[in-house]
Order: sequence, then C-alpha cells, then structure tokens
Amino acid sequence: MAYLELKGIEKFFGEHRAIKGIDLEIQPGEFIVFVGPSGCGKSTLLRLIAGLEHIDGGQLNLDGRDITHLPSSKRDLAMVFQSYALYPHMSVYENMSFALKLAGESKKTIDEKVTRAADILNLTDYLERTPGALSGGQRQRVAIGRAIVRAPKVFLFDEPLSNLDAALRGQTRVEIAQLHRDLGATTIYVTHDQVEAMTLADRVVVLRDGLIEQVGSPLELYDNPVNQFVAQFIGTPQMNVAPLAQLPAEVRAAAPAGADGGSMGLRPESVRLAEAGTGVPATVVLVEALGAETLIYAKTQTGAQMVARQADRANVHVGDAVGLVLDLSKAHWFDTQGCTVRNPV
Amino acid sequence: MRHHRPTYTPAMILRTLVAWSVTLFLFFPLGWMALTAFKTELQAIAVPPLVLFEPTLENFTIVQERSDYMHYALNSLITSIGSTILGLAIAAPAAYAMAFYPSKATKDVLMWMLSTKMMPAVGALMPIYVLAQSSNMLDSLTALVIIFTLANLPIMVWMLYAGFKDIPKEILDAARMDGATLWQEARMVLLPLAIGTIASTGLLCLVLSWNEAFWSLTLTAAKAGTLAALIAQYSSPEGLFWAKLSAASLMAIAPIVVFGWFSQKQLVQGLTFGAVK
Repeated sequence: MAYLELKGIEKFFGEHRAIKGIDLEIQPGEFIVFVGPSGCGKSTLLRLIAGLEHIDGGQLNLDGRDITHLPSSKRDLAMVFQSYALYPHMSVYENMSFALKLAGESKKTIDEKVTRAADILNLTDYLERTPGALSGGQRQRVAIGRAIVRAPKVFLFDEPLSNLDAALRGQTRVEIAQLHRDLGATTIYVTHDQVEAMTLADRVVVLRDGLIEQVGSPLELYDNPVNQFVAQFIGTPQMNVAPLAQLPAEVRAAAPAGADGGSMGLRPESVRLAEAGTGVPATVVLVEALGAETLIYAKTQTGAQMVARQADRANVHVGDAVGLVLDLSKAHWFDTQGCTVRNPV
Repeated sequence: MRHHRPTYTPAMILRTLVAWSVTLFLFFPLGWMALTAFKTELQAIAVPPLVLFEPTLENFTIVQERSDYMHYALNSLITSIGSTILGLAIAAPAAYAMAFYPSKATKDVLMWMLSTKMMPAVGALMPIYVLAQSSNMLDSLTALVIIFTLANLPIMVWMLYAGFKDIPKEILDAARMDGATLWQEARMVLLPLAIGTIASTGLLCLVLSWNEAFWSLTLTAAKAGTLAALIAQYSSPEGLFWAKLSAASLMAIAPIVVFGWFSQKQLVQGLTFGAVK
C-alpha cells in the first residue's frame, strides 16, 4: 500500500482547471521530484498536498488516513519554501523550535532536537541570531532545520534552491541529497531545474498543464520518454527533434510504421560530427566549447537543426561544411501527436 | 577627532526659512489660543493684542466650575478608546482577508470603502439622526462609539491592508505548516510582524475620534457630550468669551497633543501607507 496516495486530485482557479486529476502513489522513504515548465501546476500540486490550497476534487491519503480536507496544521507535513519564509522576529533557535513549541513538547526535548538539527546543519553558532543577520545559504539551512526538527511524515520542498547563486546551489543540492540519505524521510521536491530533478530523485514526475506526462526514475525518463515533451524537457542540451520530412531517405526508412508524418529524436551524444561527404550534409551554425565537452550546432541542407555533443575539442568553425553521422539505434520516433512510437523488437 | 564644519548653501538657508515660516503660520492660531487661555477676558480682546502680560489661571478654574471638565474628558476617552478597539476588531480581520486571500472583488471593495469617505458627513445626518432617535440612542456613548467606528473603518482597513500586504504570505503559510491554528498564527506570527501597523492605525483612530466634532455636537447633549461639546458651550448665546473658550479648547486638545507628541514616530510610519520601510 502506498504511503502518500493522490487519487484524481483536481484544483480550479475560477473557471480554470489548474490541476486536472492527478493519480500518484508515493512509497515511504522515496525522494519524488515534481518537474515541469513554469505554470505546469507543480507548485500548486505541492500546496494542495500541504493543505495550503483547497483540494477541489479527488482524494489524498497519508499513511492510511484520508487527509483531503484536513487543515495544514493537522497533516504532519513540513515544508521548505522558496523564499525560506523564516519568522523574521524570532531567533534561529525560536524559528526551529516553533513547531515543537506549538506541539507542546517539553523544553528539554525541544532543546535536544534543535541542538541536534543545528549540529547536522552547521548552525550551532547562529542559534541566537535573527534571520536578518544570516546569509542566503544560512537562511536556507534554517528553513531546512525548521522542517527536520519535527520529524514529519513527509518533507515538502518548493524550489528551495532558486534563490541561491549557482555555486551554493550545487553545494546545497549535494547536502539535501545527503540529508535524505541520512534521514530516509519521504520527500517531495518541486523544481523547474531538470538537473536537480535528475540528481536528487528516486522518481521524477514530469508535469505539463496540470497533468502528469510521465513518472519514472531519472534514467528511465532520459532513455525512454513517452513523448516528445518529456524527451525534450529532460536533458541539456535538448534532444534533437526533426520532422521526418526534413531527413534523408535512409533515416526515413528506419522509422517504424506509426511514425509516418511524425518526427525523429536523437540525443546530442548520438550525433557524431564527420568530414563533409559522410553522413547527412550540414553547415555549422554555432560552436560552444565548454572545455570538457564541445557542442556543435549545425543545420542540414534540408533545414533540420541538430546539436552534436562530443568529448574532444572540435576543429570546426561557423560556416564549415560537415557531415552528421546519426546513430539510429538510439533514435526516438514520435507520431504526429508527439507520442513515442516504439520500434518493433 | 576632526569635526566637519557644517556648510550652509543659499538653497539650504532658503529651505530652512520657508520651512520655519510655514510652520509658524500653521502653528500661530494654536499658539495664540494657548496664550489667550492665560489672559483675562479684557486682556483677550485688547487692541492692540497683548503679547506680554501677567498670566492667570482663572479661566481654567471657571471652566472647571461651570462645566464639569472631567465628565466631558471621560466621555471623550470612552468614545475614542471604544471606537478604536471596536474598529481594530473589525478592520483587522477584514484587512487580513483582503491582504492574504484576495479575490477579484478586493480592489473594488477597497475603493468603495474609501469612496464613502468622500461623502460629506452632513449628507448622512438625517438618516443617522433618525436612526439614533428611533432606537433611543440620542445623547448616548454607545451611539457615538458606533458612529466613530463606522466613520474610521475605511481608513483603518486601508492602513492595515497596506501593512499586512508587506508581510510575505509564505511566512503565514509556514506557521500553518508548523502546526499553528488560525488564532496562533495571528497571535504569534502576524501580530508581532504587524504591530507597528496596528499601533499606528489605532493611534490615528484614537486621534480622529478624539477630535471628532460634527457627530458629537449633533447627537449629544449634556450626558454623552465629548470635549468638542464642552468647547462649543463657550461660544454661547451670551456672546463669545475668548479667554474661557481658549482655556476650554486648550484643555480639550492638551491630552491628545501630548499623546501625539510621544507617538509621532508610529503615526508617521503608519501614514506613509507602507510605502517607506
């Protein structure tokens, strides 16, 4: 039986159906990431689980109990907000102990729990400060500390890293992963950053327009996306997708029957750059040398845009005529609706 | 330690002069009233006006003898504090709802509330007088408290709304998630964060109610009269008694001026409508 179970969850904002019936089962200890473009409903879905928005349809069960219409304060969930949302008038200690105080814990228990959490998060020296006197990264840790002292049933994270600078974001991401390994708590994490989704998640839930597009482990989504949207959302740079009409006859010949009139997708690492004359003829449009790898953007004579990723440095320049060798064994095929068509095995 | 000698530019001198002239111009009537309160009736109407004279306290004694000052002061106190508490009790939840759970109609409701302040009070005199009369509330403190509250509500809701708007809603959400009930959220999180706004709103309401004259004069007589009514007694059918009128006025405004002096920081903060942090 699932620990947290979403059954046909719906949310309306006026006439607009923002969440269109979400079914999802989450197991204890899982790290689930909701990912999707802005406006896809991922934050709304999290707020529905948190009880901060009213659920208009469907049912939400936690640990065998129906919590659909229970107020947030009774759900036993903890949330880390994008803006941290620390209590500015309270010290770090008071911020972290607030929930325990409300729950009527004894002073001794509170002190033990806060001290332990502060120790884990390197906040011991800052317990007497107010949030205003802390750096962004420290505030973030207080917000996490406020959540972990309670040992809640589920942790909810709402884009917790988006206010941090790039270096700190990477570091905190690693810390969150480590924290989850240590505490083993069930976690739901919302982000628009697919790198965070890929690195943190046990399972990723890709959302679009209030609907789940696909649920799966990060590599499952990378290797077997169910449609063109997921295929292009997961992975940087994006998967190359070109209409079959713009591709040479031998590529079209490899397409499965259902993909007629549709398109072919190929990850940049499955496109190899070759001398002009081999493969698909193309012209280099842009070269991005990132050091460890090089991205070559090229346009075929038939007008298809392709990116090739290679580990070694490329000796090509904008305007050069090149050939693109496509590894069709790695190709994804999409029908006219953008749904994946599997090659008959 | 080196001291910087302040340098005065012509523009600064001009600004200072203008500021002082405007201030003196605004303060003159009040200052003259305070001066007159310590003159005899004869000195008060002397031409040319006396600036130097031997001050007397007889006007204050006479005012206190002829009309019970404490009675009116108490009425002013009761109506001001009463309407402030009642007003805050109504305005705070209204502002909370509008600031944190806005709907499509919120802006319109706020504008509509403000628009009621644009109507002259006299326009509502007839219906309110008849209402007070038919409910047996003429010359009663209850009626004054209710009317002062209603008159101040729009401005109170606006001020509290502006102050609450400055508080990120996520902080209140966080309190919910931490297990706070609505009441705990209001008391332990919202109140400490909004105390400045609430205090300045209350102060303003207190001052406005204390100074209110129109409804006090039209709806009260001896029993529920406020200090405004006390002052009015001295512009009486027997003619104007300038010195006593001034003494009564001074006694009426003194408490609120002293009060305002000590709370001016809060007042200014609230009146900037959250525009300045």
